[in-house]
Amino acid sequence: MASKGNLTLKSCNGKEFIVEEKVAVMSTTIKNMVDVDDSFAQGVIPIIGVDGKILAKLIEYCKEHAEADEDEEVKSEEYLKKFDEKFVDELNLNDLYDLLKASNYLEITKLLNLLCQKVASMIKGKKPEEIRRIFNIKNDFTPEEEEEINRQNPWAF
Amino acid sequence: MVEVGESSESVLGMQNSRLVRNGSLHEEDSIQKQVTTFGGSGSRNTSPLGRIGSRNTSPSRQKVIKTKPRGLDEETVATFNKAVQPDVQMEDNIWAMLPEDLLNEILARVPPFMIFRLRSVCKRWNSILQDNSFLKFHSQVPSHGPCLLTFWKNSQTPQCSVFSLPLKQWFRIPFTFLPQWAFWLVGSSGGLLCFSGLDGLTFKTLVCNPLTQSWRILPSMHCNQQRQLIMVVDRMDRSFKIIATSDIYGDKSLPTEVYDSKLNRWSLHQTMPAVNLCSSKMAFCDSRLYLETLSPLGLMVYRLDTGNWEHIPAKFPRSLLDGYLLAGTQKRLFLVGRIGLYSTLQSMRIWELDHTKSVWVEISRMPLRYFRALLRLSAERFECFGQDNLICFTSWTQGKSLLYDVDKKIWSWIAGCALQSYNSQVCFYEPRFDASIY
Repeated sequence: MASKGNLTLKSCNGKEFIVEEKVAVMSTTIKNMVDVDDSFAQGVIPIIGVDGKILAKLIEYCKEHAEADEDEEVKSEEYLKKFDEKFVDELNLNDLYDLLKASNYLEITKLLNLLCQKVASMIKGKKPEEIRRIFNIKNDFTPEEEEEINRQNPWAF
Repeated sequence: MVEVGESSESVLGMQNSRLVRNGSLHEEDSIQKQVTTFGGSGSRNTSPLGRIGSRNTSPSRQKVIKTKPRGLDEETVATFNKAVQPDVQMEDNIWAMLPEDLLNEILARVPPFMIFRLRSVCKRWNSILQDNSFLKFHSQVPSHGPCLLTFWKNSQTPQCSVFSLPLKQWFRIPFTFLPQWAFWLVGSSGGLLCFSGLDGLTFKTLVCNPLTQSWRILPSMHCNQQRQLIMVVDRMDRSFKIIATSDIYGDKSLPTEVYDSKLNRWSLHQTMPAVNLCSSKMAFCDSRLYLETLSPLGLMVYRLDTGNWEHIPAKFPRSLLDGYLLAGTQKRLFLVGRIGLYSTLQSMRIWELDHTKSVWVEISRMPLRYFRALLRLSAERFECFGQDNLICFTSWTQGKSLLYDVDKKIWSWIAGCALQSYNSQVCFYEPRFDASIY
């Protein structure tokens, strides 16, 4: 088996992607699969619960970062920062959510960090009632309790 | 946008120079990572002597001035445009399905000052700051980035405001817990603040975490004297140390005392074998405390690992009027000072210690128009403090601070009414929920 070969990833809706191993093992989950079982390295790796569109996005991200890790001169830190910014800015909310879950499941730490940061910056300025709506959280405080919390929290302007 | 040989002035925090009160606040979200995040520890020492003298505080707002200075060629253009980030609609119901660990990951990345108002979302979110798994996530994410913390007393009531450099916004911190005697802001390190003061005739110290509002008075020192103090947090070890050097007047020989939070006591060490006449100028980097002395001339270095003092015969730059030692990242040690007796010839310069040759090497000069804007009178006092490779200059008559990024060679102004109180004490501060006072 060629250790530096290509891997085939298969999305849950049957799309297959042939990617270089160094790109695929940006995912700790895939790396563990390949390390443990050689047959994955030669055959097809099913990526459960991730569809073709999201998998393509993941591969786009990993490819850019894997190449940068290999050759720092070609892709500088600054270039990657710009790439990351553009990458998250172009995502719609559904894709952002799906990518977040997929990068968590596949343990692509860098991407997970990036996406969590993005969501954090989206919710940080929102009012509690907006947050409740977005995350479908029930307000389980009595009005008195809520007032008390706001009173205790001089920061909660 | 970058043109070597020019520099443009920019004002940080103008848009948000009002202090935030109860009511509404809209963040025109603009996270622009102009400044790198904090690494190690830094601390600032305060001399109680330094706050004397009358100053006229002018409340007038500063205007953005665009001029082309004759700066040094190492300067580059700095623009702090406020990026307009539209409020993103998040109507889709998908977010309700977010697993708990992912939610923790996300909340751990919300700027610390903004988490507080999320607490009234529901009971679970209200207790999140007491939640160990949240704190675990919080301790793993990169820190929020550098902030300036100003502390002052308004008719005996302690006031505290924080300017977040990444958010370019002022926040007010409730500080009602602080006892009356806590008067001097010793400094900040790793999310903790240290205060000292005289409670009657007893010299006391306390540490607090302003975010968690937790605080603790430290045990008494062996020698009850007002001391020059510096605090250092070791985040890996989850501990902190406070070093007490000579007494603040520099005329008594006192043994060096070191407080270790793991032992919760002060231990006695060697007395500094020098006369320290340059008070209020200490810096801590690379496990070493540096201070300037006149006899013997140069730097005294206290090594925390051995508990001993050493002397570095580094001569001060010629015609140095007043200066501050500042710690940079890793081993870097800076000297920031004013040169020149005559006002027209004065300038502000930054040197770095060449550790192998024991000489100060000039690395930067404050462009003259910044210098003129900061200090209008030649005898005007300025203060200077640093953390990592950021250096901040203040003079209280101006109500604004000048920030210099040593790595990026960028100068920028920070404005805001919290900087206008003449008795403000300022230091860099890194907000952390996981910084423990024990």
